[in-house]
Amino acid sequence: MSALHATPDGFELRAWRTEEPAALEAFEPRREARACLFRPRSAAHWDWAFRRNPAGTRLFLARRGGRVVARYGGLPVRTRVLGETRTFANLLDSGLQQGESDDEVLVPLAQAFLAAHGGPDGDLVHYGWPDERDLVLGRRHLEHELLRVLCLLARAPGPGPRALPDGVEELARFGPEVDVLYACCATHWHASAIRDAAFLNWRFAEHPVRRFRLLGVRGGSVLRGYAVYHFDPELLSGPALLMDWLVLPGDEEASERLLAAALACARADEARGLAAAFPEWSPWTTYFQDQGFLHHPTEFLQVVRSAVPRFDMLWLRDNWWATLADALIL
Amino acid sequence: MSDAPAYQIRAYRSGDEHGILETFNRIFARVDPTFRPRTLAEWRWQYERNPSGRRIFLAVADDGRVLAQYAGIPQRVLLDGEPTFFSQSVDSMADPEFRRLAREPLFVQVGRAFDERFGGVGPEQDTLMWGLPVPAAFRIGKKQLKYELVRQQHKLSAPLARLAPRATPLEAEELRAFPDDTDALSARAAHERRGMAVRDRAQMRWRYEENPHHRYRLAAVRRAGELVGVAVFRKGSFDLVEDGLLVDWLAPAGDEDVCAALFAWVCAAARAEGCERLTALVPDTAREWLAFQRSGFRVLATRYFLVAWSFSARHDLPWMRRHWYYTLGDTDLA
Repeated sequence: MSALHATPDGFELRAWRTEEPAALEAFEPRREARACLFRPRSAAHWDWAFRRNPAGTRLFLARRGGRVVARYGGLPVRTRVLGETRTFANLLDSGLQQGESDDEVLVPLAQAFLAAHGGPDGDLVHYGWPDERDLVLGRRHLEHELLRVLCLLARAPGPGPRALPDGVEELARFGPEVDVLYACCATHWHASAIRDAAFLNWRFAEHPVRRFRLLGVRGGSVLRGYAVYHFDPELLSGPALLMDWLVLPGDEEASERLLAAALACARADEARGLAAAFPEWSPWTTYFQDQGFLHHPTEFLQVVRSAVPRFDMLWLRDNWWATLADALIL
Repeated sequence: MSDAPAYQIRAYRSGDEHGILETFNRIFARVDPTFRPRTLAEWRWQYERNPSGRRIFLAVADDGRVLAQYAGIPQRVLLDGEPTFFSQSVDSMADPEFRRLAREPLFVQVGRAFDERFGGVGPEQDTLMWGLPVPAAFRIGKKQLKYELVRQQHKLSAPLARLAPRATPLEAEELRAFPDDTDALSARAAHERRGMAVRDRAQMRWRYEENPHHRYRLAAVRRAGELVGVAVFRKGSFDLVEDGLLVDWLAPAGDEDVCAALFAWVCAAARAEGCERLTALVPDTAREWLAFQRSGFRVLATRYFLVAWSFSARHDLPWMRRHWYYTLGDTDLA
């Protein structure tokens, strides 16, 4: 693809292509208002995000004299919407080198990204948890609107076992049985990221930097539920994170075992808490509160931009299943 | 469809209430099967007797017909101790027969005029306008006015059987009227909360004692004679559910004895009224949010979302999100 915009002084805006080398310098700390959670520092981490994502690549870079001076991108996610497969894109924090102008570089870069991917036949929804600058940029120039304040359900692990309870196994990878589990659960939601083995293995098992613990409960050859656990004391002020949770509603035994397993992991890591996130309408929000979790707001605001008015923020609020797996790109 | 009548956009004038009520009762009867026509007495309570004032802008035809209204319930507010106003947008309407005859929707024209007249900073202006709009009004408001989401509005709810007030040496006393020293309690609370509507005696009397729609029960807690907390309860419907409603709550967030005494009274009042559940509304950034959860309340979704637009760079929406304290009693929903 040629540059969308180029000037004689060597300035250009265009999509990054997978046949190009990694451009790690695009994610070096520059003018970000906050420490970017996702910061690839190796070719492996870059490749994971931008070459191996089963949903494709969404990254635009601005270069001046061959040097990257700005980035705008996201990680696309195949998403089931009213039974059809569409694409949502989870936006990354943008980046702009010091001395460069928001209006002259970052805004046109972001608009080029939107023009390339944001049409009705492209990404149905762009979403993210922007810092202050990206919030302003998105609302002024990219049709972003607030969806909600990210809220966490959190509790202390409390005393108890540190080993996984009986009936819970640690999975190395997800197999085809998770596709069946997702297909059963997805009927409860009008929109959800397709949590099949391809997505989950890429998102968690094959992550080159982070260690996610994949906890599963089986009944014979059937996967009854899974939980994805992650602990990094630097993240979100320190609780262990229940990154993802998929259990058939009503399977109380699997739920109890998986939650007990996640709490055991948190105790073993000496985490001061365990935190999860679900949509406010989800029965799991009530279930987790019944298990001692309290509902805490955060400072993170979720924004969305829908390419189709029908799927606006009100629809997304009431119909889109999402967990921390949909929120945190690490 | 009728021809467009000549009209003007202007602030309320004495006598407009008859035209307002005619249009209001006609429009809302069409869209709400449970609608009960508003009486002139009810209108006068809401718009003439509020100690915080009145906010009404209208599109009025030359023959006196009210074609559209943008109205608000003003609240005197202290922000970091400085007086200003908020207004809750309510009763906005545009006569469907005329709403699309103008170049831009009448609702939007009137809303803009309302913003220009009342919005601003300082002791005479509305620093914040806010509301809990229905989806259709929100979609127009975010596009053509300045509606911004503050938060999805969750509620705190618990079956009474789960609530066990802790022991406290204090006791709440049920009252028929707010006492004189409600003013001092309100002033202390506003200092603690940073952003809060004034809950002085005049405001509370208007809001609860003189309310023509509902009967409220109120209670106060005193310590060594000083008023240290008040709560307001009624049985009623919120978010389509019939519950015991903790409508207002004014107590120092960290004073467990005061909170426990009020809480015990609210639970007793709810039981006496035959309620099975108790429901409250406070911002998720208020200290009560966690304290109530620890007492047995669960956070549940509602269909409401709080929208607002601020006229102050200092007290912008992130500030409001962190510091503005409100309860069900601030809204017109209970």
